[in-house]
Amino acid sequence: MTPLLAEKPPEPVEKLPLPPSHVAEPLSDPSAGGSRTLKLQLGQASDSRETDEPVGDSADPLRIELDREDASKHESRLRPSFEALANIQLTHSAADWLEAAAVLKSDALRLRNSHLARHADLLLAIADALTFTGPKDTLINEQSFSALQQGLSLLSEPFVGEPAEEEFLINLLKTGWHLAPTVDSQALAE
Amino acid sequence: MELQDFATRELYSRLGFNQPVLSILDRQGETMQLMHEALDLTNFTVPPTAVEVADEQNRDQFRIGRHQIFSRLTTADDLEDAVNRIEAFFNVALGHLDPPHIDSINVRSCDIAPAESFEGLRDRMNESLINDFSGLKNAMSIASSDAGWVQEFDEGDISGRVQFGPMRSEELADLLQVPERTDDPPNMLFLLVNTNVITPNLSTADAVERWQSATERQRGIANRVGGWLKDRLA
Repeated sequence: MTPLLAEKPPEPVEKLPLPPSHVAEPLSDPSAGGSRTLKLQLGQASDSRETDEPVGDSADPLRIELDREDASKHESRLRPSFEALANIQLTHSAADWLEAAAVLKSDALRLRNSHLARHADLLLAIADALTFTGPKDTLINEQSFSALQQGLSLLSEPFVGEPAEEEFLINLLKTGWHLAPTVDSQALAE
Repeated sequence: MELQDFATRELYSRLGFNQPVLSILDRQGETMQLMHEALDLTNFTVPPTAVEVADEQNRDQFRIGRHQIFSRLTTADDLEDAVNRIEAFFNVALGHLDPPHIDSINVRSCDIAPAESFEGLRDRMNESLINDFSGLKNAMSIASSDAGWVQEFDEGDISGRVQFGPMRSEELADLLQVPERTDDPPNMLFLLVNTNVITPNLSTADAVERWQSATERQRGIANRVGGWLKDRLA
């Protein structure tokens, strides 16, 4: 080691060893971590959901199919958010949307200093969308949920690039989601 | 080639004793009970001269031994969580063992910055950090496949080692000796900063405070090195 370090620019070395001998022995099954993605699917609503109000021209354009077995294996720290989002299609009440948004915000705060910081940004965007857009909003339709679905797909990826995040945010805005409080221009005019 | 911000993936801290604490040999059952209560973990290993407890997949470890106590965390969501857990453990362990003196404090962190591609990061590091990389490549006459850097530093009572390079998630799991996490980025810039402070005859009462300052110093180094790397690779 020492001769390599003696002078001038840093020297490349073969893969970095972890020195201390008191670190744990390797586990016998290092692959025991579950799959990388959750199964997310766009489809029709479950009959069992409570519907306060139909959305758009179909009864419920969003269905997020969370494979429970995969989800239980998936060690993602995003699981509370996935589960919260899976629930919003069952009920479609504004209160449930806000409740889901609160779970997403909580995960985002927890993860903002981790290597999942970009995922935390996405969670905040979706939380804002659910907070500032109600289920009765007339602009919300099947395309809106498709955009949301795109966000869920991104969240299930271990790496989210900046272009993908930007495209997602643009899609949210284009498909009727509000990411900030809306202003009632008529009320303001009066 | 996008390179995101660094975040801590592993934090390791060790306090070394200047003399073996022999009483651990007679008090392993009591030590287990104490660790169980303090840490709420049950996956115990009891070698002859220590008691160690970990979570089910050995991702977080805490050890009270004859020569040292240490903690290694890989699951904390942020550094503050990890530091708080280690501090609580050290307080419990030192109170229980009452070792004569602490003679070394070792703090090591592994930080990762998610990267868009392994090859892109490797090539950028080679070009940015090695003068005349093309000359080296020509001399090898073989395509570059991987790279890594190690530097060691030593001055008075503190020494340090820094290691960095492009890495894939499976390599990180091998390095940390933990199962691969499904949410680890597939490719990343890896940065390991290991500092060791010699503390002759540091009293147990002052040990946690010195460990806190050693941790702050180590984090300062890791942040500055991470910043330097990101600047060089920008």
